[in-house]
Amino acid sequence: MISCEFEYCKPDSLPALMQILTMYPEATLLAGGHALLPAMKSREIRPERLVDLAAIPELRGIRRGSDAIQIGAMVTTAEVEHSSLLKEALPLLPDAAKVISDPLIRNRATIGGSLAQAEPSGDWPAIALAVGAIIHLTGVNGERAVPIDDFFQIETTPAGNGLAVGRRTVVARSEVITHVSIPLVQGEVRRSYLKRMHPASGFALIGVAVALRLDQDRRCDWCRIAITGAASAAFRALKAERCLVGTAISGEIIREASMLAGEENVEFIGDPFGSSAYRRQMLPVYLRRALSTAIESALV
Amino acid sequence: MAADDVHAVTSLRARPDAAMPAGPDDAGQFGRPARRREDLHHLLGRGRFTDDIVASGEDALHLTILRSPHAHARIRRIDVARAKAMPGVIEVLTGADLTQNVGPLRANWIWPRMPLPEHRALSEKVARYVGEGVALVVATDRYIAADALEAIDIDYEVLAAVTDPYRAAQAGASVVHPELDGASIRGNVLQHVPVRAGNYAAARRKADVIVTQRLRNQNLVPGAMEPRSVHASYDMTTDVVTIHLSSQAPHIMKRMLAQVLNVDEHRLRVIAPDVGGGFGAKLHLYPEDVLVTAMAFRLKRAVKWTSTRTEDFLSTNHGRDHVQEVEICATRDGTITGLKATIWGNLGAYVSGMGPGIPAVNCGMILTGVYRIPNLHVDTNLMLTNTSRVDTYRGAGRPEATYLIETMVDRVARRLGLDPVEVRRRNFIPPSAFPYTIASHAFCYDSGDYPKNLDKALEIVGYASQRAKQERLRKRGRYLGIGLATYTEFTGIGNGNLLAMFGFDYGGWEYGRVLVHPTGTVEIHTGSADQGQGHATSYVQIVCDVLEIPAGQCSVVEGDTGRVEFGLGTFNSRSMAVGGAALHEAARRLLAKAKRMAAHALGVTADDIVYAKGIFSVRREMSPFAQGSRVLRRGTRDLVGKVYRHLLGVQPVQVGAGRDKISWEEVARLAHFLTTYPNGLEPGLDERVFHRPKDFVFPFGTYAAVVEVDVETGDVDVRRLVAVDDCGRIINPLLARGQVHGGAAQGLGQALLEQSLYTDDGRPRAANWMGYAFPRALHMPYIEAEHTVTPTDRNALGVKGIGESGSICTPPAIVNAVLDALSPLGVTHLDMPLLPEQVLSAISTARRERSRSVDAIGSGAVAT
Ligand SMILES: Cc1cc2nc3c(=O)[nH]c(=O)nc-3n(C[C@H](O)[C@H](O)[C@H](O)COP(=O)(O)OP(=O)(O)OC[C@H]3O[C@@H](n4cnc5c(N)ncnc54)[C@H](O)[C@@H]3O)c2cc1C
Repeated sequence: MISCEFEYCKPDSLPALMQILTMYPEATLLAGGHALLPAMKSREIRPERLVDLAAIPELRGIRRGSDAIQIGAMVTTAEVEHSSLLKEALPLLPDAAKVISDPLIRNRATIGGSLAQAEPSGDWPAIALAVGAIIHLTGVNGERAVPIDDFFQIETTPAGNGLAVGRRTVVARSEVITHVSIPLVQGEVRRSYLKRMHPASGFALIGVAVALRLDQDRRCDWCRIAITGAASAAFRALKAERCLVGTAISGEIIREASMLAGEENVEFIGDPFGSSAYRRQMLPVYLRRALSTAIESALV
Repeated sequence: MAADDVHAVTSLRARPDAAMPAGPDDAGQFGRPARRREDLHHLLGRGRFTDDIVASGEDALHLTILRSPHAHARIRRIDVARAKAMPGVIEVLTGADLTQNVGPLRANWIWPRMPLPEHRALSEKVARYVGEGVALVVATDRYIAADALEAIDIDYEVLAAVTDPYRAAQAGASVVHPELDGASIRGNVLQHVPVRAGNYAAARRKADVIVTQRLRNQNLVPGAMEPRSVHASYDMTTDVVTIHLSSQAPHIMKRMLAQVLNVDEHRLRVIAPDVGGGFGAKLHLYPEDVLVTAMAFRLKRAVKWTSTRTEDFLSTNHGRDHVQEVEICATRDGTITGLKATIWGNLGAYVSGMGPGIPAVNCGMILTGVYRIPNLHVDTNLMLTNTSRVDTYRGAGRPEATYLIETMVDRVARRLGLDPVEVRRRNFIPPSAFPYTIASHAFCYDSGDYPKNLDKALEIVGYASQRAKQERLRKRGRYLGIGLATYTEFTGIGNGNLLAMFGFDYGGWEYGRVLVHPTGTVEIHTGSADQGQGHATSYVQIVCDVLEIPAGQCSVVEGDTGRVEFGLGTFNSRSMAVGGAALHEAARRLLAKAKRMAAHALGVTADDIVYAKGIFSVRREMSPFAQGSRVLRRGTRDLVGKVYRHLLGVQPVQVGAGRDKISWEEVARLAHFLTTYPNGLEPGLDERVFHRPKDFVFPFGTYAAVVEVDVETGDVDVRRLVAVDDCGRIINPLLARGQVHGGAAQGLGQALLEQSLYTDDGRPRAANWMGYAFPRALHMPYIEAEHTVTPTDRNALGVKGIGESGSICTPPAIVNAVLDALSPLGVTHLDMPLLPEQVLSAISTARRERSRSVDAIGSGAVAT
């Protein structure tokens, strides 16, 4: 619980950060520190140089554009939770923020850090998948935008203790997430997030994020379903999505789609609070409940 | 300098009451829900915990410990040369370096003739649990110390390990202490303790039902928020080492350290400053306490160690960890006639302070709980395993006993188709039977009214309407459960003579001192200090109730062997019943003396003084004789005064002459500065009491839980938790409720969330808060805490302990509720913690078995 020695610097602009990364491509970015610092204290990782992103204004702020919402990488979970802009435009995000661990963690943990960390049981990966987020990256060689569907790299090695490190996303060395943009889908979109909190860590033992659009005939014409906590990375329940799209929503179809989610070809993870078999068994239950909540909210 | 700083820190414990309004109306404190005088200090961030201490004006050196990563391993080779050479490293030592000057750690509850495995502060040849210390580093800061640990070369030969107490007793299990095996013990069974009463075999023959069950009371981590911490500083001028220690028993620690280090006890001062939770785990001597103190003596410098969270999981004592095989016999009407139990209680790799007594006495000798069960056959096996030591944890043995009997009583009820309420009533020790010696003969209960207490709980929970609701919901496929548990336990250690016969070396007294300063403020000293309970608040209430002065006029000194000369400590919910009784007696003696002082000043006898709210006054209806003698005395004094003035030109002090009243403050001053004192009285108002209780006191109570189980996910939702405790007279209802809340949270943690699991090779599966599920606020239901009041005559206050009831009675109440909910599905047993997955798999197993037996009947097969 006592880290090794390291260098520390705190650039105050994006260009300054890029300069540092050019000089020290191996430098480790520090956001909220709530994944990084525990791992450093237990000496699981021993970075030699930390670059603190806290003073870079370009990474901050939540903005609404004409067809998308932009969230800076250094926006904290607490800022999402309390953002009136998001409460109005995309309440799924503040709702999800509320069930992330406790207020102390939420005050520190950032959106960028959570996505870069891509914890198998993290909440933001599932939320980002469900809303179809686009991740904006800046590196020493320029900028790029990566759709969330291409962002995570599923590893088969189970992590587990909430401190896992290693490459789990496409973020390259000396590249920084600057912001996330979330396209605003037209029409009656219904979303919900249902999470069972891990009783010890507060992460998702299983988390199901759904977003679906219903037309006038209660027919689903667009749908994204994302699961976290079940496998080594968050994933979309594509079979369930396919089952729902194009059908009129009924209890029966929800049940059918939910059962299909349990058949997704992923390797489930487990721990003493929920084995992989249990998580597989719970997935349809949670999906059914999440869908029902979303649909019911469509009816009121 | 050194001494001054220490003083500045410790005097923080003597806090005037800032939160409570001062004024004579504060008198009559007993029973008031006074707010904690400790709170302001903590809310303002003025708490001083051991890790905050800077005692000697110099930065302390940091000690770190190299801990075994293996549960059982022989140390083949250990080389500290590289670590020693690192800049900033002061000292690197291994077990072998210490054998000369540091003796083995001792335990305090050593069963007669029980051998004690040698427990060194650093193990020299074999590590016996993950986290056992094998080397130490002292360095100028904790970072260097941590780096140096990595530079120690050590080579282990890994040995087979056993962590489960039952498995440790089986043939072929690896042996934790081969040096004892065969010589004084057999395998890993350190001691076998039998208890027999009546004729169990006959009871079994005559029984209508016999219910058997194997129970697991899982290994738990006490998990105080403040991890353990030790800071020792050497004072060159006095040759004394002052040890700040996060401890529940600083005086005992002083004695133990003096023995282990073979130094005179006057060269040690132990201070437990603010302590952030203890729960029994900070009661006993630890290797780190010994090592830090030894290094302060050796290096003549300040040395400190503060546990990291992971170290705290690995090296601080755990609790519970029993396997119990139980058989209970009853007649058709629900009368319980006999109880048989075999218990395998884990002690860990070494024997901690009270380790052996917890399974053997605190559990094995009070298994019958609140019931009259005449026939007993109990065997307790004290097991050595490759885990950290297991010892007192909130409830310490009584949770294990209560869980055993209370879940078994429910099983009897279910088997007989009776209401669990009725089975309890039928078997209760009736109120008329007290004092009541239980079948084990180990305890004589003081007082109790179990039916009244049970009724109150049933009324609060609305038992009949809950049952009706349960019926209704079941028809709709929802599973509500109502669970009850009734308990008694022993608190207020205790009768020292009796305990000594069982090998307990603490004695049973507590020390209290009340003294009055010349200006009238009052100082209360206690040997039973606080770890967050609010002792100072309640002690002030006890003393102010007697002295009738405002609470703001009192301060409490605790947790410092340099200022409080004696003490045993805070454990077994004993502080109010024993420490409080000592202070009560000291305050009474003090007031009696103050009355004599006042009487002397006012020229009357003490009998003619009435005292109320800080004023001593002359009784109005004095007898003519007393009035006459007062006039006479006054006349004599006047005369003497005149003579003095005339002959010597001096004026004798005559404060009260001619007056009818005198204030507390005046008496306080006179007590110190009067020229003449009443016959035989010494100056000063300062009373010290070693209170020795006659015997234990036995609180009791009923907990009721209402749960709903989601049969699709296995989730247990605790809807209601009703706690009706009877701890005799209540000093402060607010603090009593706080104790119930904290205990209930830990009890709920045991029932639903917590367990320390080990891999096959003996490594703990979780050593931090991310992997071990302590209950959080979001897990807790609203706790409905109420009381009945059945006083005890075993202390003058009529009080019993309340510190442990919640953790004792909550687990069986919740488990009984869940089993009640699932009984229609055929689930008859679940082991704690009731994690959703386990609940769900029990449901599906029960369903499968049902359908199989239905199939079997359908196909004409005969069930065997
Ligand atoms: C007790 C506890 C409970 C938690 N519970 C939950 C929970 O319930 N749900 C949940 O989702 N999470 C939870 N978390 C995780 C929390 O949200 C983390 O803080 C988060 O996952 C990491 O974000 P951070 O801002 O702290 O990043 P850091 O720890 O600072 O960084 C994490 C990693 O991301 C990299 N990184 C950070 N920012 C960027 C960037 N802008 N561009 C590129 N790389 C970057 C860092 O270099 C590092 O490798 C919990 C954490 C703790 C300690």
